[in-house]
Amino acid sequence: MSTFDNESLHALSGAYAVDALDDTERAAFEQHLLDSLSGRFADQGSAP
Amino acid sequence: MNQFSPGAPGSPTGEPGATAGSPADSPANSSGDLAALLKQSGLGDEAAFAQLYDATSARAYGLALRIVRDPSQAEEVAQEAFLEIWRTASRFDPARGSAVSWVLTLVHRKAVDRVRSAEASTRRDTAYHQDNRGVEHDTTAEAAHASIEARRVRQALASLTEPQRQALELAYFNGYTHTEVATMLDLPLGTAKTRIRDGLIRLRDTMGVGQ
Repeated sequence: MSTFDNESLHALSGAYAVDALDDTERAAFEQHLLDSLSGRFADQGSAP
Repeated sequence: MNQFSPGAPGSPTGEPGATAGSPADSPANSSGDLAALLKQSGLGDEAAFAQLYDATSARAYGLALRIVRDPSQAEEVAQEAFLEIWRTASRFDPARGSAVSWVLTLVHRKAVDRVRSAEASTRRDTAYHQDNRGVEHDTTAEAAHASIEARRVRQALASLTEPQRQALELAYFNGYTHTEVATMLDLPLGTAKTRIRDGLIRLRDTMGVGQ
């Protein structure tokens, strides 16, 4: 998602938690979460 | 799913069969039970799902009502949410949060979706005044609020700064997006985001979650 850098996605975490994102933002945020999670799991040698 | 229809608004406890005892009476040990019921539901166990429904439907309906402000719509939202819970229960991961949180998060998402589609054709300022009239006296919400957990949440909410509480309530209980919250409170978008986030962090700290 080129429209959201990591910094602005991080700032959205509160709004995400209370379902205060619109659909586009929510999708971008969840993709960002997936990306960071898969990064972590890759480190441990198991895909999510 | 013969247990499926959500409790009528006049049935505050929402316990059609009530075979599972009264989980509301034992908040301390019910969370593990609910997680087990959710896990069993994920395996297709209808009886476990019925117990889960009995234990959580009143709170689910209360939360939905708080957001959609209409009893029959709240029932529909609760029903949609429980349908999704039944379908996706296997995705519940107890390591990431309690079963109740998982259920209520799903209900909240459904309720907010409902509010947004309903409001697509309604002027925001009208909606704002409607949403700020407050909920009418309701025994279901009252029962849900009577729990110790709810008291802790209310106390924690009182610890927020007024701007934080206002931003969080508009976002969580009224279902507005952070962009709408910024517009309604006449704030820069970044400030609205920060208030919501800081408010949540303060709630977490006040309630001692994740210690």
